[in-house]
Amino acid sequence: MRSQRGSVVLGLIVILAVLYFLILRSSMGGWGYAGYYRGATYYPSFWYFGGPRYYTGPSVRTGSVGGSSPSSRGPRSGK
Amino acid sequence: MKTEKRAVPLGVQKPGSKLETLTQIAIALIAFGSICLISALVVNFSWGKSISKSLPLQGGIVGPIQVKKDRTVYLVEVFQRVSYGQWSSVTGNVLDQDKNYLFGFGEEFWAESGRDSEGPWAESKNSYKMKMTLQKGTYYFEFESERSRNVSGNITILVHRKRGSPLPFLIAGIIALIIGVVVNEIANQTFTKMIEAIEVD
Repeated sequence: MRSQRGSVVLGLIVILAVLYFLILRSSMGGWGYAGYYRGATYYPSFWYFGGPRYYTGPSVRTGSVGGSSPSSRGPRSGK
Repeated sequence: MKTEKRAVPLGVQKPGSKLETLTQIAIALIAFGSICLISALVVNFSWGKSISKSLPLQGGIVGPIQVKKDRTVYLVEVFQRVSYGQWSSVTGNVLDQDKNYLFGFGEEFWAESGRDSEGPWAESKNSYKMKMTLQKGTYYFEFESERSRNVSGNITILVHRKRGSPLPFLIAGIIALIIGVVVNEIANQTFTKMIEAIEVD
C-alpha cells in the first residue's frame, strides 16, 4: 500500500514534468495572441483580455466618416 | 461518546499514510504552479533591440520589421498625449512585405475631468498594448488616427520582441496552485487552523 502511494506521487511528478514541456512548447509558439502564421490570421484567445480591439479587415474601420463604431468613439464617460 | 476529529499537523504524519501522500501531492502541485508562474515572468521578458518611433498626428508606418523565427511574439505599445476634453482613436494595421493588410487593432485615447460630491476628479487613457504572434517574414505596422480638433501630441510607437507567450504558463500555474492549496487543505487544514488561531487571539 505504501509503495503504491509512493508511485502515485512519482507518477504525478512525471505527468507534471511532461506537462511543463508541452506548456513550454506552446509558450514558445506564441499561443494565445492574435497573429499571422501558416498564411492565415488568428484571433486572440479568450485568455488574452485587456488588449485593444482586434480587426480582421480594413473595410470594417474605414469608408464612413465616423468609423465602424461611432458609439464607442470620443471620450468615454469620465467617472 | 462524542469523538473529536483532529487534523494531524504537517510534517508529523504517519509515514506512508494517506494524509502524507496527499501532502506530497499538494507540495508537487504548488511547486509546479510556482515554477509555471516564474516561467511566465521569464518568457514575458523583452529581448533583442526594441524599435521606437514618433509618428505625426495623422499616423505613419513603422518598419520594415524582420521576423527571423516562426511564431515570434511581439508587443506593440502605442502612446499619445491627449488634453482634457479631447479624444483620439489610433488604429494599427499589420501589413505583410507587399504592404497587404493582415489584421488590425485599435483603441481610443481620452482625458476627462470634472467635479462631483467627492470633489474634483480626472481620468485619462493615453496608451495601449497589443501582443501578437507572427510567422517568419517582413512586416510593417501602419498607424492611422482620427481625433478631436485640438489634439496635438505625436503618436509614439514602441515595438518589443518577447521570448514567448506567458499565457499557457499563467493558466497552468494558477490552476495547479488552486488544486495544490485545496489538496493541502484536505490533508492538513492549514487555513482552517490559521483562522481558528486568529479567532482564539
